[in-house]
Amino acid sequence: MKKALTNLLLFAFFSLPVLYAVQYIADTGLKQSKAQYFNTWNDIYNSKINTDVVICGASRAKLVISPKILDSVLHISSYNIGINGGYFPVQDALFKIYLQHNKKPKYIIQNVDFMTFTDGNNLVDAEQYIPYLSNPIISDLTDHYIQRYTWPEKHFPLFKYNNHFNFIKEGFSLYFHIGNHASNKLYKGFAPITTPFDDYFTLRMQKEGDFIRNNIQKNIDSEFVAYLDFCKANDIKLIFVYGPVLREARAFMRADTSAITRKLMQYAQQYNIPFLNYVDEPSWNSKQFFADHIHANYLGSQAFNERLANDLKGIIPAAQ
Amino acid sequence: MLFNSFQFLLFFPIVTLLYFLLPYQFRWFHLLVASCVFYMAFVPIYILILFFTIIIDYVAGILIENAAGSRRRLYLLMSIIANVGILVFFKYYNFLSVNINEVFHFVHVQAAIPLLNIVLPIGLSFHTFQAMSYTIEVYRSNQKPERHFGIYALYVMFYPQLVAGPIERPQNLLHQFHEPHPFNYDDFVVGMRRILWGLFKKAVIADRLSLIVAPIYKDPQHCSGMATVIGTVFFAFQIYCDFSGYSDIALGTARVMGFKLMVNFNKPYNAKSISEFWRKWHISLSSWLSDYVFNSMAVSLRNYGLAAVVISALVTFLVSGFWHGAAWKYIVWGALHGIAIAYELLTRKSRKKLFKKIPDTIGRIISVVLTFSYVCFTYIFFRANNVHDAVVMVKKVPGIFPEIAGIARHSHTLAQLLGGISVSSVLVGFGYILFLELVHKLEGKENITEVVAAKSKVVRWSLYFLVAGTVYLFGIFNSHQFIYFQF
Repeated sequence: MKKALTNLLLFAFFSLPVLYAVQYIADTGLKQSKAQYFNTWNDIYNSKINTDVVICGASRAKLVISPKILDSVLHISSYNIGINGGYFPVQDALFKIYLQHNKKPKYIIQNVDFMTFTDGNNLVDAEQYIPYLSNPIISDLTDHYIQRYTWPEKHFPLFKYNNHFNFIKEGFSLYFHIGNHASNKLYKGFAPITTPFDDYFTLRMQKEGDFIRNNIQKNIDSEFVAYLDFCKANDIKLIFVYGPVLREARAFMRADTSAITRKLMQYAQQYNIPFLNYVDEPSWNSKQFFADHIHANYLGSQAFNERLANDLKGIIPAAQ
Repeated sequence: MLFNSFQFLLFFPIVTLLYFLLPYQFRWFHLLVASCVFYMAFVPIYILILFFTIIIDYVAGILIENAAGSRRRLYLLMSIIANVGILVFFKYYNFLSVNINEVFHFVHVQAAIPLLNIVLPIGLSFHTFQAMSYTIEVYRSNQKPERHFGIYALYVMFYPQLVAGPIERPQNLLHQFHEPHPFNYDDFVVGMRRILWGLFKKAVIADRLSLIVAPIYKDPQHCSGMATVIGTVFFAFQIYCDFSGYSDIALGTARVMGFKLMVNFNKPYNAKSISEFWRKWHISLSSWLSDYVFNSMAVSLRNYGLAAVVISALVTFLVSGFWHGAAWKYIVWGALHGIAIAYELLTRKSRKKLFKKIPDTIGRIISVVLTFSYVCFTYIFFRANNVHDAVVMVKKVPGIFPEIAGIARHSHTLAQLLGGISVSSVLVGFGYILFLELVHKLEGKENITEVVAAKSKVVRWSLYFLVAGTVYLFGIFNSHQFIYFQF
């Protein structure tokens, strides 16, 4: 028995330092990555943002609201920390991490929409969290979503990279400055879509019926209110922006969107938040402005951002 | 509890360490409790079914031993009826009800047997067969009945082989629970090697191949002939690595504690005939069926000569198909194997004559390829959602030839034929299959653990690090059940 235990210990003795070292190199390397997957996270972690205006929200913020246009029209400095597939708890976690590493913004352009009070059980693009799993906020977040990363992934060295050898490779090449590294087409976090209209929502509708479960969930509502309270207490001025949606997209939604809009209007009134609602703008209700039913394409985003920037003129003053 | 889960990673060392720390007389109890915990990790309440069959068979064993003449037969029958009754109720009730209702409908009878919402207890077919082998062997006087209730319970419930075999015989396993099994370093090493290799087969090969197989079989209407063939060949290796991987882990965990379970696989895809395939595939089940179904039938029908053997083979494989699952596709799968065995029995002499005219190596290659192709053909029924889907897929297979010609003519690409499955993932799949076959080639007549044992310390340890590292980094652990758990 002694020999067996000694051999097991020897196996661990030789393995563990290697696993920890590889994990350290991969994590450190990826935290320097400019790849779209990690770029915004790294800008947040490396305190590179520090802007007065921050754009928050899910994909309808990330892919649609352009800091370039807002900066040029309003003469401000803004950054888009929107996150794809981000339910409100994800947006909230991201904002908390933002505040850990960057100065408090003066204004937040908060994208709101039919999904603001809805939570799901999937963590979209979960791999983007891998290098940062040791952060307690991210750890709690991944636990919240069907335990995407469980105890072994968080505590066994390198196990979080299981089946992500490409990330280890990328991390190593960044750490040792070898080879060409992935870059991104982001502008301060903004990722416009240039692909033609994709009708996959219709196909999904045919298969699954009204698949967008856009109900008002009590726990998400409370979390949203806590976020509004926090911003109010910290003198961060919020601006609600409800971007355009193709009208026919309402067929895909389970709940009545007007109830959600009414709730948003109620909070806007209660917290004295400007609410810029473009959802029913008839001028954008055309597929030429959309990449799919709910995300504006580059053309739509240009038109929308110009309008948004003009509407924000009276709300956000130009930087001194 | 799955062997490839984090829970088992904790369970196994704790149970093993306690096993060796405890005095010998308490070990059976420790293993029994551990086995209960292991089983209850699935659906706790179903342990009552296990206890029920354990009590029935324990009592039946003693009654059979003490009885004589027709009473012995009666007690055996009662035990078999109890075991088969539970199996039929939990596994086949809804299947039988649906089919009887279909018959009622066909003959215009206004009656319907209600369907029940039953969850199949995990591994039911395995431990039922193992329990039945005990009473049959006691009846045949090949085994003394076990008087120690706890040890008998452990014979049925021993956690390494509880949910997916190997289906043990009392002569091989029961006596081992009475032996002290002091810690043996060689057993420990052999067992650990076997566990590691089993994990590699399951987590790295089987579960990776399943990512390609599942989408192909999910949508048979829209897959090409090429996708059908690749999906089926991959499924052949997926199910082999899944089940033999499970068996390796079972054998390994038992071996670490000093128990020797029967080997369940012996390079089945190298078989030169379907009969040989069944001597190499799921050996514990095929030998069970051979001992208790085929031989019994063949002996009772012996006056009918070769016909008796053919009929016995057909019935045995229908039972085998039905054992696998309550669906027509499994019955068709079993029947196809039965037909192949019957064909082999009937044409043995003429095939022998034919193969004498061909050089040995070529004859061997032809036999192996034909056998593997036929096994794959039957797998289409095994893996498809139902017989209709299987027929759709079988019809697509000949389409592979014009598709290959089309690739040569550049009228379409391999990627198009594979639908949404990437060519690179298919190449990786073939890479794993090639690697597995290379290991089989290296093994020769030995087992991989024996081959590794013969290497130098440096080579051995390098292999351990390499295999463990591959499982750790490339294994898939998101709770993929073992295929045979459903049976």
